[in-house]
Amino acid sequence: MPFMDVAVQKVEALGPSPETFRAFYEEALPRIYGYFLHRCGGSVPVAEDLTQETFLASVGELKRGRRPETPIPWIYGIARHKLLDHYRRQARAEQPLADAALALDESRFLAEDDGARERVVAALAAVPASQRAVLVLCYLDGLTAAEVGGELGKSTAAVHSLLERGRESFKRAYLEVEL
Amino acid sequence: MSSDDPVVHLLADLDRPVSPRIRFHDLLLAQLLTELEEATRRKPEAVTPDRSQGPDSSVVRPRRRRLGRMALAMAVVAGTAVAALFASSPWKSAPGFLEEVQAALTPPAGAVLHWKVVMTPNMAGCKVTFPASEYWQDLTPPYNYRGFEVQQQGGICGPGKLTEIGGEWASGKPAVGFFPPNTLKGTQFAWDPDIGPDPMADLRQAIADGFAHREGRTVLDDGRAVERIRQDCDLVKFPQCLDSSYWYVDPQTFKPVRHLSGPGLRPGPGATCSAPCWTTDYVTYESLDGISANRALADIRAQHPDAIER
Repeated sequence: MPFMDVAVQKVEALGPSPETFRAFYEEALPRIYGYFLHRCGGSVPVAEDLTQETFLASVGELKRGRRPETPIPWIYGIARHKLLDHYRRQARAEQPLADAALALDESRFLAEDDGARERVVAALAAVPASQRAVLVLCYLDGLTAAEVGGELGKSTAAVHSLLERGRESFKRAYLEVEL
Repeated sequence: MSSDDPVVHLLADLDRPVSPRIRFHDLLLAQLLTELEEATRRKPEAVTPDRSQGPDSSVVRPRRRRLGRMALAMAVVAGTAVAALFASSPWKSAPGFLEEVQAALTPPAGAVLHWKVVMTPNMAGCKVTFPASEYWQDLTPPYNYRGFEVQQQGGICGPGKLTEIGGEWASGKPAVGFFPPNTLKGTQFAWDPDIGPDPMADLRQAIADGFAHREGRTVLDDGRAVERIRQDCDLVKFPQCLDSSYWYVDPQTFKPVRHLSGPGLRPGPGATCSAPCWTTDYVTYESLDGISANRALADIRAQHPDAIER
């Protein structure tokens, strides 16, 4: 996973003590929030909800005695499951355009030079949810097609098909997005 | 998946941390710490099934509590217990004191309010004093406002920087921000609709409704003599209110000097609160005449007439 860089390794142990948890929280929160914000069309409410669900789930694990040795990758794993659940809900409703509209309406506090990134986020939000999930898992989270298939309950061939369609959808959306 | 692939290239740029809104950070942290504290108070075998996971969680969900409106409202709903207070006793309520405060904080019709505050959050094991935020609020519809708002950077303990924002309170829309050299663009900041266009309206209403109580004369850590007012939660109007907050007003002018708020806040010497909590120090609070020059101070578009709006 490309985001597991050296910096994240400085949080090495995680337990239920408030001091330890706070250090972990400060390190992990912007990463997890950014993870969701970029993958959910830039929607602040959705990113906040999923971030909250992720951290609550992590606390639930700690309360049950879990002591992750690599807490940042661990919470990314929880986040990925929350994201996939979110995509599945969206795929059932399949309202990518509504999501894209949300992304454009949901004004964000971005610096001027963030316009290009904003466009990418909006374009990604316009991609159908099933294709978006594959794009994100393959290109952002660095999973292989087989691993993505395992996560999504699809064959490798189906993942390749979704990936190809997702790429076309993304390119089309990227060219059409106006900010 | 070639590195030359434009789709890969575009998407790869999305992986970077983003600091969420301060209010979201604070309330989620408080919620999580509460969950952990509950767990540590129990014997391990007595831990009940986790109730915090999934969308049906009974835990309060910050976003549902109108946290999205943190920006300017922070100036009137935030505070921390860092003031070293030396309270004199007994606290007595002089007849008419609160009414005098109420009158002093009632701006003339058509005025432009101007205030400048320094906010100091005390949370997550750190205390940060932000750069002074300054605001102008036109009290004539559509209630234009403009201000220099803190955008936190470098994590929760980062110093933050000021960004100029503005909008119309009546529209209910998020503020636009001015981004040098010459752009106006939407932001996530919006005025809290509960607060209203006048940031002191909340305190005045609390006085009128009996939720404000004079606690008496005290001295702040910088030596200023002030009067302390406790504002209790009106849970009918503000169900998200967590605890009483405290106002310190000048005993002569009755203008605000400091505001403290936060869950579990206990003012006075050795003041404590359960994080997060805030101090808001008022550097300036004044009513300006509603002349066009002053009204323009509250209009971000008037301040940047040549800016390109996106």
